[in-house]
Amino acid sequence: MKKASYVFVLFLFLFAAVHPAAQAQQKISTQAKGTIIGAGAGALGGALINKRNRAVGGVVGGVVGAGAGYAVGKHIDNKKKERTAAANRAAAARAASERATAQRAAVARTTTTPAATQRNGTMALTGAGSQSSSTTVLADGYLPNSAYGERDTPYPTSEYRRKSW
Amino acid sequence: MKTLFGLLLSGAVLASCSSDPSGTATDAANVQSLNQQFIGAWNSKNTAQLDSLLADDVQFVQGETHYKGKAEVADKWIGATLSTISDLKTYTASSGNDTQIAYEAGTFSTEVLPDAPGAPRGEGEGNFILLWKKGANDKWKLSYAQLEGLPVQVKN
Repeated sequence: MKKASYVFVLFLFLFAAVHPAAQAQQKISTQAKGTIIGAGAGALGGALINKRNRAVGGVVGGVVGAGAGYAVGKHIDNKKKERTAAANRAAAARAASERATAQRAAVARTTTTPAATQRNGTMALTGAGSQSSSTTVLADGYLPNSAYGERDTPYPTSEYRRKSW
Repeated sequence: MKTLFGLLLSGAVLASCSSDPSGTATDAANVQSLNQQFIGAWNSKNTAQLDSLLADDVQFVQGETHYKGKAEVADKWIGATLSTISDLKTYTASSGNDTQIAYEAGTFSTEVLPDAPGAPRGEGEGNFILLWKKGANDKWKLSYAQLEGLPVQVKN
């Protein structure tokens, strides 16, 4: 009967130790939580087991329980850190992928801009060879396809001039 | 004397039966020479010579165009292109000579002449294959030409 009451007190202590800590939103570290629980459980367990001298039993049990609790808490904390690091790595990879996609889209917009202006009849003027105002050169020094869109020509879909020979 | 005569006779017979490899070689095409004529005619803008080198059923393929027959090829390829380029050069990657067919394939480069006053000159490059066939009168004619042009860059 006495044993049963000790077990009840043990559970009560454990609940009291863990519950406020959980509500305090991570104010106590996992290691400290493990140490407290381990110490409490060890002390009660030691007092229960050592019937002849419950004080010594409680102290020894508390010390051993605190060590074990700290080890368990540390292990849990390491696992948590690993999960957080993996999540951070995944987030960084996602962000890099999004940046690359945005960059590709920006490059595509840049390269299609001269073609759009060409279709509107005003050609973008770039390149080293364009001295005259009538010179029409696309980006990167390519000549525009004057037959762009004419289906009976070799390369009607190419904005750059491709036919030479 | 009879033995000697017999030996001479059999030797003459064997000699007449032996194949003549040089004869076969003269029948095969010299595709390098044919292409030199063809490219030379382009660079000298000699339309008459270019026409004379085309087969009646010549085909020309470039991008989305496919011209068939001497008249169409001469008009839409040679006629339309001749005044727009100069200094055409070919660089052979593969070639073959046979008694009936010959080909040369590789890359080409050419200077693209400005199409308007003040416009820049261009440098055109691409890939080619010229296929020659021996005609009925044993004359070699261009039977098939395929060109793939790369984007033309401004010549610095």
